[in-house]
Amino acid sequence: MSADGAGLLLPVGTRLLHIGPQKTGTTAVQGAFHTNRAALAEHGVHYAGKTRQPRPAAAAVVLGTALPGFPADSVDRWPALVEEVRTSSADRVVISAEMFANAGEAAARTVVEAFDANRTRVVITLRPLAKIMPSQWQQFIQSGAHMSYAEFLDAMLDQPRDTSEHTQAFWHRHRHDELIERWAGVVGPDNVTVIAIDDRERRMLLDTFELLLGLPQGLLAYDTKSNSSLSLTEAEVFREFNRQFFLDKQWPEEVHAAAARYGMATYLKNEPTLACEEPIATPAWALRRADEIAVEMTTAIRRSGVHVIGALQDLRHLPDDAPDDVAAIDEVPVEVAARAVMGVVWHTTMARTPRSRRPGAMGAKAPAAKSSKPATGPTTDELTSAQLVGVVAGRARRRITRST
Amino acid sequence: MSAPGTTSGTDADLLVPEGTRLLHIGPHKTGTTTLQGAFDSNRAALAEHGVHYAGRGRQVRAAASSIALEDPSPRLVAVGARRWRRLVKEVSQSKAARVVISSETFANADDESLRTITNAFDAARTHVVVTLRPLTKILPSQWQQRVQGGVTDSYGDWLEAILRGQREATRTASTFWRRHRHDELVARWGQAVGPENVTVVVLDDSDRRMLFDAFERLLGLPPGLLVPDGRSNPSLSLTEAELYRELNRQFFDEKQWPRAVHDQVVRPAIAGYLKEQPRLATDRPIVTPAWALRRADDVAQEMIAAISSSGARVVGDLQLLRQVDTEAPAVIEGLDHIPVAVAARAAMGVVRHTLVEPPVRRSAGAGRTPKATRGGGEAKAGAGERAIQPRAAELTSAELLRVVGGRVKRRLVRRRAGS
Repeated sequence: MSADGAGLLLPVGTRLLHIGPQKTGTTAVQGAFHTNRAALAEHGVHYAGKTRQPRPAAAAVVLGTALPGFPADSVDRWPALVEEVRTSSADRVVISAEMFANAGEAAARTVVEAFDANRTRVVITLRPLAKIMPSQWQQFIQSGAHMSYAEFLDAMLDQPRDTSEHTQAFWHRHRHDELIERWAGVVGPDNVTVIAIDDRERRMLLDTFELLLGLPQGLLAYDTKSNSSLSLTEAEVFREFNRQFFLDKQWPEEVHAAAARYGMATYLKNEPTLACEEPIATPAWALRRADEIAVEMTTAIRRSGVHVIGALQDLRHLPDDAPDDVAAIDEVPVEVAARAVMGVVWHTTMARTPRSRRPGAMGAKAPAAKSSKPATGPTTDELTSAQLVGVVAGRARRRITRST
Repeated sequence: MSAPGTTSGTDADLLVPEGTRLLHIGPHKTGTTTLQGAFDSNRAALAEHGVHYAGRGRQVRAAASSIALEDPSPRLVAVGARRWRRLVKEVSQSKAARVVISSETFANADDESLRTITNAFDAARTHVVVTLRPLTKILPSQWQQRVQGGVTDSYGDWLEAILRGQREATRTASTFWRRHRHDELVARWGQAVGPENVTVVVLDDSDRRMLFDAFERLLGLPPGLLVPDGRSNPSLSLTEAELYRELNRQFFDEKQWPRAVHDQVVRPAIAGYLKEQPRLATDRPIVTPAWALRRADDVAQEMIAAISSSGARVVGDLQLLRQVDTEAPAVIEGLDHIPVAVAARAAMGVVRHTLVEPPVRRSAGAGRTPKATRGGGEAKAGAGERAIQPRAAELTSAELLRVVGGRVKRRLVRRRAGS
């Protein structure tokens, strides 16, 4: 990047499409855009969507279905997003969702054409693969996986890419050279910008977006939320919970989403880290293998003809104090164990607006037990499973409130 | 045994007269859950032999709480007072030769509420039964029971308060000794009904049927009629109790969440679930240190002497109340770390209680849920069937979750069929 950033500014009329991928600081960037909408508008920038990121809309076009936990009609948010972008009179429009990185070539083409291929600049943020590995593992754990970190590394780095759904999905997002080539194939390499993030400079990502969009320096600021990772200690409790949940008891996935992802995970991430928690450490062999892949990827990216901001060299990460091996944790500090349980209690009984009760999800009223009027509200087949779980959780909360 | 007041125990000696109300007051941790289960699940056979087990459930806890507890929760006051009136009416109208009323909560009664209780059942016809186990065995089980209820004291601190602190200095100590200074318990009830109308049953842990045998003889039942229903109130392991204790600390001290959430979710959800799971090889027992065992044994000797001379009838061997483990450690420590399996189990317990199998709603209208909508989850979602789909509001939580479960199953079947 040139020192003054000259030449980075995108032309008026551009739609900046930020596709992630996951674990590259997306939550922080999206928060900075979402919470600074008014200031952005003053400088001709429109951040598309109404929330931090238009994930349901992106899922609709990329996956062709509603996200778990969202109502079936959330697929209508994709055409709504397209319409919002199309009718915007702002100089520059920003659309950001890491879900787009999951798109195959056909879906990528649909997305770009919807936003107008001639005006779309695809932005891809990159961090070292070696740093993505632990984040991605604990993210899998949050969504219900029960493989150990060692098993995860083995599957991702020592097995063929088509070994499982997990490995395929991982490399579809994180074989970054191919991700770039896929989108460059659709919009042309000249319309793709890669940002190699320098973790040592906290504001680097925000500074870069400001230059791309012609914003005054410092306008974008981080909000408090970041999609922080679980520690190894927390992830190991979570992993055992997943094992008992899915293997021992075979309880429904919708219940897991409510109790674990929105309950336990959210609670743990909001609590201050304890001194007794251990980080997720990647063993030396895996770092070496990830570095080999990083070298292949940076070579290919250099040759691809896309714009590169930052130093591709930073995508190599090979610390020399890595452990030889990783061992799973059998025992955890009681503080962490209790927090995990507190998280489930919190979501199912204490939280005021859990995910499953947001507008649109919580259609049904309490049971009409006390009145003689016929029950109203939606029938069971009008509600998604997640909504039904939400009804149950709501009743549990009211039961307690009534008796206090 | 030949000590004064001890019976050698023929059936004729123990049988209480016709018209007796046999009031079993526990105290806690003396096999009460097992005994109550045997009565509750054998009601028909009991009736054939002229015995009426009062109440509708396993024990009359709510009724007893409203009378015997110092400060029952507001919820108990409302429910319990009604249940108490119902219980008294049931006992006074019973035509059975003998009526049994059992709840360890009665052991909490002070002199005044104790009189209310015996008067309600007619003191002249009331015979009180006290079941006893060694104090050294009651200590760890009482601690983990208190931890389930929200206490954050370590076992060591709790023992200090009970065994080294002044009896009236802490609520912990005063509550404990009201129930477990067994000689005073026997004397207190003896004053109300006459010492000859109190029977002390000393449990023998090596003879599982001993407790049943004693009650069969007291009530004139054929030997072997009382059989356990498989339920007991097992204790948590140290591992489980330490998790609970830290959870209590975070719940009450750090977050100050409401008591009602602990009473209605944390306590039943986690303890209930943990106790159903098989023991883990990594579970550690609650071990009492040597000094506490010695102190408890001193108290046990005092209690044995006082009970022997109380005039109450004694079944079993009072010396069994002395039990000192000679290999006890000098000091004990709490656990800093627990197995992930235990942590996950506790979380699973909360999930089951709140989302997978929430307790059945027992409000007045719950029973009105139309039969036709039960098992609605099994209905096929075909065209034209929409009209008979139940509304979510009509179904109990358990039914809604069955609908979800049914969908998941169908999806799995489809997925397998498609692959």
